[in-house]
Parts: sequence; structure tokens; C-alpha cells
Amino acid sequence: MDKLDLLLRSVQKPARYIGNEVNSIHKNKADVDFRMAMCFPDVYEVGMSHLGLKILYGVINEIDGMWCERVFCPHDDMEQKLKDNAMPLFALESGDPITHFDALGFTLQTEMSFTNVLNILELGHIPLKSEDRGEDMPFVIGGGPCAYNPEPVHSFFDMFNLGEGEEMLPNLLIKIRECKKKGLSRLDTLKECAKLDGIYVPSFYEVDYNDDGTIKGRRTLVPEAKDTITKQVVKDLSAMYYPDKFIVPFCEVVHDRAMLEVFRGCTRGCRFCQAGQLYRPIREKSVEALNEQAKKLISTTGYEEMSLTSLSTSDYTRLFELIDMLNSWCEKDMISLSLPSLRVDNFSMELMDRVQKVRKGGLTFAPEAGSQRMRDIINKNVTEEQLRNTCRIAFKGGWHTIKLYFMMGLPYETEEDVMGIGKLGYTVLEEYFKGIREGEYTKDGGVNIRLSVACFIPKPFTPFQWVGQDTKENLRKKQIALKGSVHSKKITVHYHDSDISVLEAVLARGDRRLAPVIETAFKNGCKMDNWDDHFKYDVWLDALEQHGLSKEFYANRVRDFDEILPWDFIDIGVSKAHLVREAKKSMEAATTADCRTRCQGCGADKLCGGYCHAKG
Amino acid sequence: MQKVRIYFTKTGRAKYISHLDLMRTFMRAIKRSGVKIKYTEGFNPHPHMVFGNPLSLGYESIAEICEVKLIDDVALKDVKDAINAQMPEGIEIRDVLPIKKELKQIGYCRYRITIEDKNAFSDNDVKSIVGLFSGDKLEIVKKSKSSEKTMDILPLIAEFDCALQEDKLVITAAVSFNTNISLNPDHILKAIAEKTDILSDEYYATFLKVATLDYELNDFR
Repeated sequence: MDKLDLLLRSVQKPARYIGNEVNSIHKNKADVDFRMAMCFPDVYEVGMSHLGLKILYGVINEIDGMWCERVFCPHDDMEQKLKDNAMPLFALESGDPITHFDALGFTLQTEMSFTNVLNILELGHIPLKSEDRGEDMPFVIGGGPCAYNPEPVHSFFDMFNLGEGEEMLPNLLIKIRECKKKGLSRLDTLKECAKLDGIYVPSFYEVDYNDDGTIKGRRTLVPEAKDTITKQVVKDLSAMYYPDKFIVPFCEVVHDRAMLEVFRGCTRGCRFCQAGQLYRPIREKSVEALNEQAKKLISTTGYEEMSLTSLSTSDYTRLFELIDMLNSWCEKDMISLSLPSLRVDNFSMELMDRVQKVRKGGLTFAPEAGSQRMRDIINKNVTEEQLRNTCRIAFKGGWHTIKLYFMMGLPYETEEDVMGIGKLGYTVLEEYFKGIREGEYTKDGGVNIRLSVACFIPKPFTPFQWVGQDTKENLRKKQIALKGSVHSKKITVHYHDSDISVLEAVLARGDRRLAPVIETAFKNGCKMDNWDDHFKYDVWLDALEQHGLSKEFYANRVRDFDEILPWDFIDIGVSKAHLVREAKKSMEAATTADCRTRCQGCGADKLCGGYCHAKG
Repeated sequence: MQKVRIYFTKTGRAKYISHLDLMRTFMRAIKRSGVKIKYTEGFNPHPHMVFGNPLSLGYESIAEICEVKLIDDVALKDVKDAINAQMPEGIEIRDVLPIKKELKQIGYCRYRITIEDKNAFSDNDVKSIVGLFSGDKLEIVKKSKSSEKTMDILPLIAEFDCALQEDKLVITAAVSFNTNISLNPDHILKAIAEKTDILSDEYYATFLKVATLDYELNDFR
């Protein structure tokens, strides 16, 4: 009887803690001189759905002598059992405590996972702060979208990996291993890492503040620290590493299917969207490379579904060619293709006939705003006519459930814009009945229109990084008004919790002074902040107050264009000048065309020596 | 098309894989193996697999069953090897055989229950337990969400043996396991815990299904 068995018998869904899944990698410790643990700061079911984790797990395990394992947040019951039995958090493959590793990598997908990072460190018996870690502690590395404003969590990480991990993460780990072999101290190792492009070591910098709380300036503390950290990108996606195997989980996870990453970047330029800016310049994978990757993945996993993943898959220039090539063997092997997202302006039956052949569930589209004026302000170039046409095609195609995603609290928004969301719901409903009258389809079970409205959160590196988030009071007023304006049983309106949105807005554009706030909130019980049943808004507010900071300063304050922002020291390719131009255009509700229509000169192409696929 | 029965084990850490998880595991393993099996018809085709009654989560077994319909005419040994190569650790294919007895002829399951406790067991303990299970009846209280029922479990136990193995107790019992009524072998432990003072609060038991039997207690094959 081993200790873990005793724990596993008394927790829910023990299969998520046993490891040993098909395609998980087990190496002989005697052959390994460097151990990495990829720590996903959420539970197994969420982490195992994440493509980035699969890619990095695979690419690091390709390196001779290196072994990469996985760590996830335990669910509450397991966490309690670990604590009751004085068992430290362990990695799934070896079962070893995370202190046994040379490096821990955290992918920061959302600000609401920050306290989970601290929880993993604490459960693993690793000092929360970089400065408290001794020579024998693993290096704690952060990456992912939130790493592009790393400042609120700067004190918990030894370094950040800013850029695409396929090439730079192996380089970083090889460098750390080299330093370990040479017997360099922790400090000297950090200095060597700071010399690498795209690596940010927060402890080598100091930030000074003005009396009004804005940033006065930054100083480097060692000569190895660069003034600007430039995001690293992979130039040739077709030649780039892609896993030929995915770990196949035993238990149900959020996304359990083969995934093909089709291209990086987005040409639409929606002004609220951080990912669209962060992953520029546009780079596509060739159809041939994708087909080969697909064949390998299916043969090693046995998955029956494959999704074509990217920020806007239907914008891939050779989409039909790709889908037809995949279907030539997928159909007879009973493998269905799916697209994770669809656009209102290029939806067609030609597309749907090739993917999502099983007409189950609903279709989701994202008009994002209720009025044309508002959609122009955010540069979501979608018209009401396009929405009506698209929904008509969907109804004809047999989908009678339509989900529409919106945001409220957008910059320069009026109540009329918000009420427009309800009106659009009715417009779609009208279109449904029109189609029946015109004989295009029959009622067959009725229609279901779901309006899902999130609260807008301004993010770094977007044209909206200077605006204020709408206040919680205004957001509540708008939610109530909107809900009150929709009376049809066929239209449902759903909201996201505005408290979580306020906190996300605080952390997203936060500065270094928030790090003690996060630590205090965690120590007072905050974790799993993304989960409604765990989120403790009052504890967060208390933590802010305790450290003399206000949520209004971070979330609601409008910044001047010349204010020094906490993330200004990072160069993601897209220039600040471009973001300012877009911000000014948004004030006039002026739109910017898709990059493929005309290059807007965002500047990201410089990262690829002037290349961007959209430039043609 | 040939209907075959796959006999497999589920041991070690694989005992924590739930029944639904197991079905998914099989589906994908068979797909990876290249062995072609029949799919269901209709809007949402999926592989046609029939499993025996589910094994409780946390129990090990060397006598599990799954039935599929092979599309191609292949040697069953090759099918066994191909699928076995795709199974994760803890699940092993023992045999792939044509079907003789139908699933509905399954009557009992033989379990080996191994018990350890902080105090050593004695021959007297063994005698008491054997005595408990050779009386006229043995009633336990079966609690469900809505009610409590008393149930006599003796008629549901066709074979019973208890022995000492070093400091552990080993009970071998054939319990009813069919579509009419099934007895979870856990109830055997509950009966011992309730009716005797042999077990402390901290006993630890493992369950291993060693055989699937027909109504005559012969091996089900």
C-alpha cells in the first residue's frame, strides 16, 4: 500500500492524478541531467486542453538528456489530502516533488491564474519570492500572454520568456544547464540568461514612481540587463517543431481532440484584442506540412475529432484546400474536423459542409457590439446585414441554436449601444421567422438565441490600453437595462460576473506595486480566481487597501498617451505609434481595413526581417 | 464480420480509470491499432463496443470483458497483439476469442479481497469470519440516498473462503454479478466490520476480480 494510493482512493476522479497516460514521456533518471516541470496554473482538465503545453512538453523532451514533466493545480479535495498527509505537490510522470527539478515553467494564460501560481509554489515547498530562493531551488520561469505585462508578478519569477517557446525555451534551458555544469551561482546564471534575446530577469531592474502613482522611470541594476526586451518569433512555421504525439488523457478534459495550429497572428485589427497584436506578424503553415502533422497526430492518438486552431482559422488563405486535403482521408477514418471559431463575415455552407458535419449543438459568432457605431469604434468590421445573412445560412443548414458574444463597457459606449445588443437578438429572431415564411426551412423544434455579454477589460499592447474600464455601477445598470429590454422566450441574455472583470482589469494593466497585493490576497485564501465558487472579491479589495492602492487607479483611470506604461520596456513588434493611431481613430469611430487589403504599417514585420504573410 | 470478445486486465494505477474513461481508452487504442471495428449507424456514429458490467472504481481485475465486431478477416492473435500494443500501463489484453457463451449467461464474479490492519489477524479471526458467512442469514443495512433497507447477503454469495496470509486476511468469494442482482463485495467487508470487532477503523482493503463465472460457477468464456 503506497501513500499515494491511500490519497487516491478518497478523492474525486483520481484518474487525473495518476499520470501514465498514452504518449506521456518517461525517461530514465540516470540518463537525464536536466529536469523541467511545465506547471499549468489550473486544474488537469484545463491544462490538458491547452495546445501550448503540448508543444512545449514535446519540444523540451526532444532535447537529449532533458526530461519535461507536468504539474497541475490539485482540486480542493486532493489539495486538502496532500496537506493532511504532509505530501508536497508532485509532477505526474515521476511522482517527484517539484523541488527536485532544475526549472519550473508557468504559462500565464490569464491574470486570474496568478494566485494559482503561488499555490503551486507553496504546495511544492518553494519560496514564493525569487529573492528568497536558495541555490538548490529550481529556476521559476514565466511565459504566455500575461508575461507581456509581467510586472504585477515580477517578484515571484526568476525570469520571463517573452516570445514563441518552440525555439527560445530550449535555448534558455540549454543555457541554464550549461551554467549548472560550470557550477555558476544562481545570480551568475540569471546574468547569463539575461544576455539571451527575449529573456527578462525582473530582479535586474528597479522602477521609480511619481507622486501621482504613475511611473517615473526604470533603471537597470546590472550591465547584462537590456533596456528593451524584444519578443522572439519563429519565422518559418512549416519547418518549426510540432508534436507528432499528444498525451491522451484518461478522463474527460475540456478539449479532448487532435489540434492543428494553422497560422499565427491575425489581420483583422480589432482594437480590444490583445492576442491579435501579440502574435503578429502573420505567418502561415503550408497545407502540405499541416496534412503531414495531422496524419501523424491521428495515428499516435486515435482521436476521432481534429480542430483547426488559430486566432481566426477561417482567414487562413488556403482554407478550402486544406480542409479538402484532410477530408480526403479523414472521412473514411471517421474523423470529424472542427473550427473553434467562426466569423460573421465569411460564413458559408461550402465551409460548413466540410466541417462540423454533425449538426449538434449551436453555432457561435462574435459581433462583440450592439450598434454599428460601436463596432466601428472597436474595429470589428461586421455589419447587421452580414449577421442576418450568416444566421439565415445557419438556420438553413439545420442549426437552430445561435450564440452571439458581445462585450459591454466598451470605450465611448452609450446606453443606446448596449440596448443595440438586445435589438440584434430580435433582428436574428426576425430573420429566423422570415426564413420559415419564405419556405427555406421548417420550424422543427424552434429557435434558441443566446446573447452572452462579457465586461470589456482594457489590455496592454492594444489600442485600448489607455482607456478606463467602465465602473462596476455603470456595468450593473447596463446589464439590468439590457435584460429588461428582452422579453422573448426565444432569446436569453447571459452575463459574466463583473467583480471578476474588475479584478482582471486591475491586474492586466498593473505595475510592480501589485505583487505584494497578490501575495496578501493569496495568503488570505484567494486562489482559483477564475472560478465563481472560489473568487473572493472582498479579500482582494482588502488586500489592495492594505497596501494603499486603489482599484480605480488601475482599472478605471484614463492614461495619457505619453504616460510610461509598466510594459513599455517590451517590444512586441507592433509599434506604440501604430497603437496610438488606432486609438485616435477609434475616437472618431473610424475603421481600419484588414491587413490583407492594405498593410497598416504596424511594425511587427521587422521581427521577421520585413516579412509578414499578409503583405502578400 | 465477426463478433469477438476481448478479455483484459485492469490493474495497478489503471484501477483509478472510471468506466467511461475506460470506454474512451479502448476506443482510441483500437483506432490506433488499425484494427477495424464496426461503428453504429445514424447521425453520430461511434465504435460499437459492449462492455461487461462496470467494475467499481478502485478495484483491480484480471477478468474484464469487451465485445466488438471485427470488419476484416484477421487472425485473432494478430488482433490481440495489435490492440495490446496500444494499451496504457495497467490494461493488458489477455485474449481475443470468438464468442461461445452470451453475456447474459454471466452469473457471478469471484473476488479476492486482501485486508491489512494495524493489528495482526489470528486464526480465531478467520474462524469467526467463516462462521459469519456460513450461518442461515447475514443481514446488513443498505443505505441509499432516499432510504435504508436491510438485505440478506448470504444468498448472493455462492462461494466463500477466508485464510491468513502472513499478516493479511485473504477472502475469496464468488458474489452475484448479473442483470438481476449484483452484490458489491464491499458489503462483505461492511458485514465483518458491523457484526464483529475484528477490524479497526483504519483497515485497508484491496479488491481484485479474479474470474467471471456463469450461473454454474464455471469460468465464463
